[in-house]
Amino acid sequence: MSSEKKRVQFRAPHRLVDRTDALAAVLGEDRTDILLTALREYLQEATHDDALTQEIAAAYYDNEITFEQLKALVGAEEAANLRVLKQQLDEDFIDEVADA
Amino acid sequence: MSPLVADASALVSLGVVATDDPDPLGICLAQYEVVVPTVVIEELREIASYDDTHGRAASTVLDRTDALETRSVNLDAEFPLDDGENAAVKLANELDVALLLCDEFNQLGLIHASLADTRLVTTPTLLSILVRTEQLSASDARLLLDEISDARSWDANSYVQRARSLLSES
Repeated sequence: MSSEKKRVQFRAPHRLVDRTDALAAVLGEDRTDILLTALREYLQEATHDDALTQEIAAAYYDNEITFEQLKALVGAEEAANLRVLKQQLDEDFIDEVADA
Repeated sequence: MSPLVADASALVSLGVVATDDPDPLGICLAQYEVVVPTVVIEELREIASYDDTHGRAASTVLDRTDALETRSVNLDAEFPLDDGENAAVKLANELDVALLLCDEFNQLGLIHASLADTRLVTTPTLLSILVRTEQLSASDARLLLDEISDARSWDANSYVQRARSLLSES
């Protein structure tokens, strides 16, 4: 994974930012460290959630995300399974097998 | 008839609806020369020992083994799949069959990558093919898929949901 940083801007409720800063002060880290840890842990957990994996798969079947994005979310092995399943839905593939 | 190798997972799926009319297992056995590794038959016997939907489905398939050809396969023990899938992949490659029928959705990437000239199909896709070749009506296929889906707990699976909508369009 690239370690190059991308600048992201977003608005968050005051209370959430205050709590983030408070935890940062306790841990001797900065706000960004806390947010990155929170985001990394959320993504890790979320992509191990079956229901969310199915949402991700659906977005891939509907061409809302690319195979590369799929792989970044669910890992190479699961992405390979979903690629085969997407092919199973392809009308041309079904025609080809039906005609064989 | 083109040859087709089937794995236990898909045979159980078809077995769930094999007592229905129309019966997609019967259609499949009439349409394809179905070849099954002996280890898959052993897996079906094991599944059939349970008194539940899967067990009854496996028994239904075992009752029709006369219509199947069974072959023993030397397993490649290093291969990271369970014995049935491993044998099915090996047999499909050895016999150079047109189709491998398998419903192990979580292993499909690896199975697909291990096949030489054989096409991989799942049961929902097989139902679409049977609709395309006019062996099943789209509405019958949809009902059959719903029934299989219930038995296999596929309801939350996006692939199965898409496969179902594919059937309603045809």
